[in-house]
Amino acid sequence: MAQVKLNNVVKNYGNVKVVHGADLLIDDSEFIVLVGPSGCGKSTILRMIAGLETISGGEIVIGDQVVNRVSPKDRNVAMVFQNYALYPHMTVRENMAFGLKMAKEPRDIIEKKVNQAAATLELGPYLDRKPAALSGGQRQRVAMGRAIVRQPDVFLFDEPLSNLDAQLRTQMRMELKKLHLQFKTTTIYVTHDQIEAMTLADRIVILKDGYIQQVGSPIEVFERPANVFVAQFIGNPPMNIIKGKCTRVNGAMTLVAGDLSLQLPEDKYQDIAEGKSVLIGIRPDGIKVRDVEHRIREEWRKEATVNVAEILGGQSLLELNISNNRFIAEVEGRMKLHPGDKVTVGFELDRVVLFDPETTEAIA
Amino acid sequence: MADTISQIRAAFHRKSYLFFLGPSLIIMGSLTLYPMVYGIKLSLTRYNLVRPWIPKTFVGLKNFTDFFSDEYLVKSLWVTFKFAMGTVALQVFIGLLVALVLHQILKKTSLLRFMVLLPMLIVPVVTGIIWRLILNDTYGVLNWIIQWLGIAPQLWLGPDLALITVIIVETWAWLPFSILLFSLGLSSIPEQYYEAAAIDGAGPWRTFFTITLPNLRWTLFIVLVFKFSDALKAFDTIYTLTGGGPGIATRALALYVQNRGFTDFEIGYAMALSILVLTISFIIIGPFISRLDKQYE
Repeated sequence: MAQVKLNNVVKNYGNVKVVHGADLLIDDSEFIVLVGPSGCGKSTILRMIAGLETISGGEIVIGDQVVNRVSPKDRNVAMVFQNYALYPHMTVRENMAFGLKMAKEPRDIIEKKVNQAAATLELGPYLDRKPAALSGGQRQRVAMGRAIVRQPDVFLFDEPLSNLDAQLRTQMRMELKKLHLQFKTTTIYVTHDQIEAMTLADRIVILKDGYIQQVGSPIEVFERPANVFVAQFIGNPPMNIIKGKCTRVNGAMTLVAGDLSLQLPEDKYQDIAEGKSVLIGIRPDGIKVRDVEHRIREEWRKEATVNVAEILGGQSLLELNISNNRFIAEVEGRMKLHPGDKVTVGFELDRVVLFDPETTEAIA
Repeated sequence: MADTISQIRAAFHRKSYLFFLGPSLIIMGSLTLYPMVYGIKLSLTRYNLVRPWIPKTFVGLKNFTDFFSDEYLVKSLWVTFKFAMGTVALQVFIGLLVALVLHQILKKTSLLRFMVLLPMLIVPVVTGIIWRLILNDTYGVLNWIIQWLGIAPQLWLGPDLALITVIIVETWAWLPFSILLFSLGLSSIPEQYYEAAAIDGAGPWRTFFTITLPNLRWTLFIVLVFKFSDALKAFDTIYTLTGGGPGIATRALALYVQNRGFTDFEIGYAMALSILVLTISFIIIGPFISRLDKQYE
């Protein structure tokens, strides 16, 4: 187990800069998830940590060793690839033992470690099979087994669940979490799936175009996104963002967006400049439709018209028109509403986030 | 009436596969099966091509039993064996080596890859003629070069060196084929295997023997199948370079068949020899093909 530090790490491919000075400190035993859209540089960062890509600038430190010029095998990291990269001509046992064999571990120790990992991952019955004779989930487990047996300082996962179907992905996600709790190895996990990021991570690193946008716990990035990109990338459906202004009405700081006016809570954004244009961010689950009278202050309740209602099983998604502003609300339970229905909605305005319209950064 | 029409239609549908298979069956039958059966029939006869007035005589298996007393056949078999082993070994070894270099160092230089493939595009007879000029002992460029280097000129197509020269020229001509197949094989190995091996701590040799070679085994099989079958039938390059000589130093099996058929005009015996070539091909190549079949099961 080890701490991993990225100091101003840069990656160029010719004239194209794909990672722009990434700074990141990953604590010992931490499970960190790098998330972002395609081409954001998340896999490149992971591959630089693994030693599969050279570093164009800055330094990467694993434990207390700068590893910029250290070969992958000497970094004591183990990597699980998106396509598993299991050697097709070797059995499960041979695949798992390969790294230990390369490290010249004694045969009995290899046997013991492979058997232990196989027991943990319930791979015992498949040890003498070749990868082609395994299901996707089993292959995924072998790939993890190959990483576990080496007892590395750092686990690196490059979108390991993206080749599995939705059901298996959920199951494997939980198994991954359990494995991390069991081994407590520093883990760096790359995904573009924000649900994986939210459920697995101790902290999430959100990237865009090679820049780190925000680093924080899942709740932190969900509730206090650093900018509009994070607000809309994390959370499904994404955060509602509408243009508005801050004005004082009867002495209270109020958000005004078209015909909608909402009084800000007393402890939030009170020192914002009057008349300042803002982008108002409200999570879909921050708009309540049930039990509004009991749950939401009166000045935060508004009349809304339903445009579209979608029932997702345990939840419903509503597209609402509230004082000529379009909002998406995510409500618990099945709401049998029809287009044109009038409802009273309540804004959880203590969760509102304001962004600067020019920089799109969150206003403190 | 309607029933009858629908019955006819159903029957037509049941037999419709014949319309799709028909053309290939006719082509296969007329170009492969018929000549083969006719060849087998001829191999059981005595038939002299230049004396067509003498009727074909059925001699049973005599042509085949004559093999045992034919010392020239044994010599041809020995030449063919040496030629096959030499060309296959060189083409596999050098082909793999060149493909590895092209794959590792020159990934983006497709022009160079094209240039490597050029010899294969030359007609074998032209290859033979070009090489005959290069290897000529009095005015050939090769002897000129080695003399310039201070080495005595050689009789490249003389009794001592002819077979080795023929093996080298054949290798030169057909090396691109194995390079091409090995290159394709190499590019089909996922890069992640190499990355996983690098993280696992495998060095270059270990990576080659544990990742590259096992993943190339089916390509290797295919190269071996093609090259062995080519070597057993080798004719054009040898014919144009040496004509099987000097003496019978490079008279491989196919040239011997040609000699017996079209120099001695013993068509029956030549056909029996052809069947022998076919049988040897089956014995050597058959196991490879059955392994390949298993791979795709």
